[in-house]
Amino acid sequence: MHKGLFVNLRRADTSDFNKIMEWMSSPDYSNNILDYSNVPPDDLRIFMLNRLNNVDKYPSYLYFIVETKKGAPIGIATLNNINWKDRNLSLELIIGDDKFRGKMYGIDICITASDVAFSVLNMYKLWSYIYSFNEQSIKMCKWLGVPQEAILKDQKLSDGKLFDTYVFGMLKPDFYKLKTAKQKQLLEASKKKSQQ
Amino acid sequence: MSVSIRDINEADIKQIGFWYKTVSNRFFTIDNLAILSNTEIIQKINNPYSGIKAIDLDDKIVGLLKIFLVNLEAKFLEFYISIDEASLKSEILNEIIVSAISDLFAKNEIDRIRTTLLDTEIQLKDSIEKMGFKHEGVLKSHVFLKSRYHDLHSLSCLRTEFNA
Repeated sequence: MHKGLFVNLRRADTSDFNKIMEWMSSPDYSNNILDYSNVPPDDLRIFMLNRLNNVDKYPSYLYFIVETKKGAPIGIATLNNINWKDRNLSLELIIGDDKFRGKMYGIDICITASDVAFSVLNMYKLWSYIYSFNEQSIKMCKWLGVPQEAILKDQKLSDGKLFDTYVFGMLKPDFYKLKTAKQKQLLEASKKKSQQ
Repeated sequence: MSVSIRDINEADIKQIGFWYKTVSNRFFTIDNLAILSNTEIIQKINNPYSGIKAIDLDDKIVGLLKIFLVNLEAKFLEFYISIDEASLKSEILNEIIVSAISDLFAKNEIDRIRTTLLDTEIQLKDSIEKMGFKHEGVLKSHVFLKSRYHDLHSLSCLRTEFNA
């Protein structure tokens, strides 16, 4: 169990399969992360069960269930594309429960998952591809001080239109310079919001 | 002198084995090729799913091309290219690059092509930029090679802007 300010992350297992499939088939997941709608359901089931059973010795992905402090599951954080040689990986997260969106949970998940990547997996870099229409995630990266490294032109086709993809990347030393200050800011912002 | 792009075969392995291991180990992200034997590398390269092609200059392999990702929806392709030291310094470099990229555009229904280059691959970057590739950004400390981290330059080119 990895503890954040408002959420905890725990490794997902096969008992989380149904919940994960429900969140992964949501329009939010398929629009902003990956669209599995073209994959035959049986193939997707086997693919996901294999991943949750941890069949690989050096997996290129790790799924975490995001839980509130009361233990209610609200989403998934995935450490994906784990590159053990270059020590980098990408982070994907989805808050499946609408009630918890726009309430700073996303930022806390991001900080907690980054901490797992850097201090537990000993990664050196964390990166993320974010489509230009995903304004909320771009805003979150900017708030966290994650540098934008590149803009990949016309990388994503959505509703017949091509969109750019932003590449954000954070190195381990830079993350630990920012972590405490950002958590403090997050707590203060959360207190202000609850007083309103 | 003529440049051609073709599939890898068994007979090539002796020519490229050691060079591939030392120069191009970023072609595979998870395995550290430095710890694999030549036989294991051959198995990795010589299969239909590797996406690796040989670049020949007058029947001698001077480079390798790997198609990394083809997205037929958004019509783009990502590739890596690696050229041997001698050809990098020769005047034929531009011709080699033009042939490789023309081949990718000719054989794939794509509008855009993208590659990433290490910060040390200066000759390649200069040559690729001459073909009309635009710089999209720098991925900081993205690859660990030869005892240090390297930045990766991301470059892309539209079919209509490719300056062969």
